[in-house]
Amino acid sequence: MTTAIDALPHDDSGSRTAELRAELAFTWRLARGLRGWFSETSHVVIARRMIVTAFVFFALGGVQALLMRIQLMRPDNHFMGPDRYDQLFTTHGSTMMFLFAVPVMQAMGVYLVPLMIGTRSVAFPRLNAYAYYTYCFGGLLLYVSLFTNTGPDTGWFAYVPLSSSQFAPGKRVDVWSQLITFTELSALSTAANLIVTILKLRAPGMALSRMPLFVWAQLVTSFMVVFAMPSVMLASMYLAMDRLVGTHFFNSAVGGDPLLWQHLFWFFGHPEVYIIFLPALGMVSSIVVTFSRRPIVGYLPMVLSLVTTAFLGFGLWVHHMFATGLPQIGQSFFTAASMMIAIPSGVQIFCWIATLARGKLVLKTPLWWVVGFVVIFVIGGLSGVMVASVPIDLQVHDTFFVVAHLHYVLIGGAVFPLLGGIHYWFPKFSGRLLSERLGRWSFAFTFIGFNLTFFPMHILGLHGMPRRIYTYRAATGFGSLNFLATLGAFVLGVGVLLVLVNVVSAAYGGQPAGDDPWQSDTLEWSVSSPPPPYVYACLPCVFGRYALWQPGPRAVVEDMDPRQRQVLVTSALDAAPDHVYMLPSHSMWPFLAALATFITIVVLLFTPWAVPLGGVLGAICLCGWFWPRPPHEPLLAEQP
Amino acid sequence: MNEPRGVTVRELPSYAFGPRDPVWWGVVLLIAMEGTTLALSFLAYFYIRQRVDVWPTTTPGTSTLLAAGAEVLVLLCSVPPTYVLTRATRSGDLRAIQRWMLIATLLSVAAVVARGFELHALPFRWDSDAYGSVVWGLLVLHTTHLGLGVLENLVFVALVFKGPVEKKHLVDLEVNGFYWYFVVAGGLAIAAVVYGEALLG
Repeated sequence: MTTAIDALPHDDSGSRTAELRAELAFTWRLARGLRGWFSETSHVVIARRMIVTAFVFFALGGVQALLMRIQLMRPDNHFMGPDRYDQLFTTHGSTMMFLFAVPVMQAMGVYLVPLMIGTRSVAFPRLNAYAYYTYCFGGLLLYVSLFTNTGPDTGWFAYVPLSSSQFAPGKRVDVWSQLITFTELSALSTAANLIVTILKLRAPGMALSRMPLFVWAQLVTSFMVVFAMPSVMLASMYLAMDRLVGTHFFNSAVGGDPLLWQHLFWFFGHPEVYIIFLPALGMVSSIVVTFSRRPIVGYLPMVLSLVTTAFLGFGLWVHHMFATGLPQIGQSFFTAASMMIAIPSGVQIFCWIATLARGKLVLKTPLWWVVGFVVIFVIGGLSGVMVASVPIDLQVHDTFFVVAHLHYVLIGGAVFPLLGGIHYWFPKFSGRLLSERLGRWSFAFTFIGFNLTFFPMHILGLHGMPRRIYTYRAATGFGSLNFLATLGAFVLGVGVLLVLVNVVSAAYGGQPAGDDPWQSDTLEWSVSSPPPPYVYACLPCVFGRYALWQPGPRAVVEDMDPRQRQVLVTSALDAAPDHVYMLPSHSMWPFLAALATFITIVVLLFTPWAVPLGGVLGAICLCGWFWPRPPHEPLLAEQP
Repeated sequence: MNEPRGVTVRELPSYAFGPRDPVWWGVVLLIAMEGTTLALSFLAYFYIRQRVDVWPTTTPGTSTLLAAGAEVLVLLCSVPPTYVLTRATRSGDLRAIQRWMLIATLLSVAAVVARGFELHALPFRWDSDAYGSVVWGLLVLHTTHLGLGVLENLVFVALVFKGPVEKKHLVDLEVNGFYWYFVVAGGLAIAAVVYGEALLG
């Protein structure tokens, strides 16, 4: 593939005029001032805030991990007590799953998807802002409770009966269950937004068969969110009601069943892994294509693998429950399903390797992170195949082997590609290039530190070290490997810190990146870095799967009114132009609605009367949000 | 596929009905989320049911069945006006929209009132046992759907009677009717499972 990008006109050629840009800049201007800060609905701004917020939570979760590693560094350690340790591992898990991994992947989608599909915004910008503030309030609730010594302490999955009011009095578990409400509301809102954006706002000509793999990954993930997240919302609602108003969903004494909790939780919890993992695969595909300078090998198998993974991901939840005494037929089914999901993952790995092998490799930092991902994720996948087998699972259940496995899958499968993605798209986000040298050092520290931390945990688990214990006796012999793991954790911490240093120094003094520093194939590289609020002066038309590598003349959408916040709606399959759609302007109502949600949920920690309160506040917010404001166009001919 | 070699939007409409409209997709996804939650609530119902020897542990009395029957009737009666309303949105006939919107909204409010009587008449509480919990759970969940439906109806009543009514509001009105069908379907499913079983013994 030649870099035909130079032969292609960019966004700002053809019909562009200074007047057009000036009008668009006015129409799409960002809100100003403190009130404006809370009113802003630009997808670029909201996504940027969400990415930064998610990384703040990532840092907090990382500090918690380091504190836990210090505690476990040596036997009989008294750096912290069991209560603090319980709060830390619960908050660490909840933070990483609910406040970092899912939101950051969605935020990358919110930022990049509109750019990649050639439109100006997400379909529902106000809903997007609501999702962000709701997410922030959820995080605020969790950390206020942690810093006031009421942090949740029953694990990120809050198994009953441990989390029932009988064994966990006080408000700690309630905080956890309401955190779920916040984060799932946010995730569901964003998922719906992304699905509609992808299906209805693609540039003319971008049929589904021409969509970038990152967009496919976001689409499939969003559908998974739609069908997985209601399960944990329902479970946490049942838990909250059991604790608050004395229902008996999980009380076996009067007909309830604690295993119902596990079914509902893991029906969400296993797809959650893929909800985190699939967007990362999309990032890997983007990076591999760009840095091997060729189309992906096996586009169709790649897409089918994403879809297959999504379907299979809903059929695996019971493999988290092998130790609960399932019927043998159930064990066999879920073992088979768990092993089967290795197939689509394997297909994708082989497609990437084939693409890299047949391409002209440009070994920049993003590609190093992808290489790290392949190595770590394959190891995590293999240990996953091991625990898919019931006898092995029963042996290592609730040991550090599982801790090692889940970190290999989640950090290897999601964080490495994410950091690769950050290195890849940072020039687009900021207009600056990250330092290659610092990037490679940060990768080396992270890769070595990660393996030093988590590989010994496999051995510790096989030797029988249980998870969720705050200390262990010297006679167990776990001391030396734990010391190694703690050492590795600090090396890993240095690696992540170097990424932060690189980002901050580049943001303030990095080399200008230009529009397309990597000579990439996707549309986001055709707009300036960072993109203006209106993104495209003229919406592009698309003629092939690799839009910017496509030879031939350039075409754009013409006659859109720059004085209105217009986007073009296209058909869901072929992206044929359908109608012009007006987006709403800035509004405080999404923030106020999120605040109303926060107030309702905090009150719900103490009394069920929060429900009618929430109804009233919700009604006010709904009216304010949707009430029409000028200009009212086009009006119905007949008026009341 | 016809390749767009430069596209002009001059002739394109500013709104469209049905799956052409982004809001329609948004509401379909909302229904998918709420429908999944409702389906999982039914799964919880049957999951708990198979673990209990006597089911239902407390049989709903006549007053409960009357209230639930009234609610089902009102929900069914709300479907034709909603259908006529959605047809009227396509033709843009404001007078017809006002009339049928008002009727549909009154019926939706009546459904909420009937639900109130139904909950009041239940012979068991949410904290009686797991049966009570899961039935109350289903009904409360569906009441939130009912409440949202009524709230949206009231907002639209205010809009179509006060104005200004924009053309895109016609699309929103149609989509609102679509959501109401989901609310009705959910109510009927709950009545069939919870009371149908009690009636059939």
